[in-house]
Amino acid sequence: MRWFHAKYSKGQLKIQEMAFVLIGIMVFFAMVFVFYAAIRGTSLSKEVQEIKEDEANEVVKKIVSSPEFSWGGCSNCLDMDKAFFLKDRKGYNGFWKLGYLRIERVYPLFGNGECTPSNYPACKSITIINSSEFGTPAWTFVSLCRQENENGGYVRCELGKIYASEEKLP
Amino acid sequence: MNKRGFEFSFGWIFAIIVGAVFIVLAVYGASKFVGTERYGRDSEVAAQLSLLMNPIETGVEESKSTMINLAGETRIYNTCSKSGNFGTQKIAVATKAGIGGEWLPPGANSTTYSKYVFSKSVIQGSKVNAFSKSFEMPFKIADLIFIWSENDRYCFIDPPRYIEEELDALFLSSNRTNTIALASSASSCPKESTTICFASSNCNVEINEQSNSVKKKGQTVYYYGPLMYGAIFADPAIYQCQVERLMKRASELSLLYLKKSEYISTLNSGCSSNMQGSLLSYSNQTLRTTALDVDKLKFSSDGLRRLNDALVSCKIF
Repeated sequence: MRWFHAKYSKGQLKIQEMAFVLIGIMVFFAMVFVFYAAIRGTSLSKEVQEIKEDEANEVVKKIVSSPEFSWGGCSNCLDMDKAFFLKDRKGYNGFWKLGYLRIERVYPLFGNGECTPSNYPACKSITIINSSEFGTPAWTFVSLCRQENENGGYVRCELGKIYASEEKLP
Repeated sequence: MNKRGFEFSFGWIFAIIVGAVFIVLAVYGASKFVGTERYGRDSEVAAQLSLLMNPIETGVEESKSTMINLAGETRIYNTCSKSGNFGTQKIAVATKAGIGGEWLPPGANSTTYSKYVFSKSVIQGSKVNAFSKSFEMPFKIADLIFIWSENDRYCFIDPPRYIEEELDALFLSSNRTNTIALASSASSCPKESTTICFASSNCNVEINEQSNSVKKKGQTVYYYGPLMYGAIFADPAIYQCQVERLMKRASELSLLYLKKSEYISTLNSGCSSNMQGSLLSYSNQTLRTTALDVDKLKFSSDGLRRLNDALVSCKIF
């Protein structure tokens, strides 16, 4: 009976040892997986941000030829009047998937402020999109064209810049 | 004791069972991992494909054409939704792979609001042909993008001269693709090509220039201008959806031009004020327009164009 009791305990010990080894291996692989998932998640986040940045760069190149901004018949001309009234068009919220979109007059300067109904067109910039978090804006030079009422009315074009940036991921 | 017996302790049994469970779990985990990685890669390809369509869009050009080379055999899923202010254009991609199923469900959709892609709902191939045309009615509304696979062939039977010249300029003279053919009769068309007739029937696509209609897959839709190509290359459901999305954009653009007209008329002694009523009416009319009556907008569109052209010093568009 004593001999039988001792053999039974030895088997139990071996099973317990094996169980601990198996648990240890599982914990080890779980930690490896968590580590890999964290690195993969970070790189995925970076890839998404890069794609959004590329998208914003492409938008800045093409947005001047968009019907909402284009001045008919001129390849790099932006209709400043349309851009100004686009500020108030709530229907365009989220349309360009940008975090920041601003048009700025470079030369000649009329003032330093944001364009409002009281000071337009004697103002410097029109900010159409300004979310709380956005990346470094890409920009390009454009011609800002608008109707002028002097001398019976004519089209006036000035030098400007357009800035656009993607929305930052939370 | 039985000398011919084999001692198999409980420890060994336990180890084999647990080992088998681990192997099954590892194989399951690996297959899930491969599926997740493929989903991520396909989503990235869809986003890059959307970006690639940006240079295809026209600026002041009337049309542009190109060919997109994909990494391998790929399925492109084109989904159009009418909900929202401008509707939604979704592109998803599934790539062919050796591990797992040949074709798995596509990755995440790449969503845009400013693109209008006319194609079949699923395109499969390693190369994709694309061209774009500017859509004006009467002001520019958007660029229409038409895409089809290298495996799809289209045969235009005795087309009108302007279409022949356009196709020649976009594709034929540069040998950019062999998927577009011009023929004098259906018997001259390449095998398994989609036939497009302009003055006869018994073709896959029948175009009636008098009524501005296109009959395809048993359905008749109407077109204006370059929308005819949309009706040729796209499935009817996608064509109808994209037309309604374009009309929504036309409506918003009309309201923008209305605001511009109101501003200019205060600057310039009422110049363009005669367009304001027409612009508001056009905005309302386009919101109600579908692919079944888009050709009827021609009258309102031409009227707006005439009013604008009559303005000497303060054209709105």
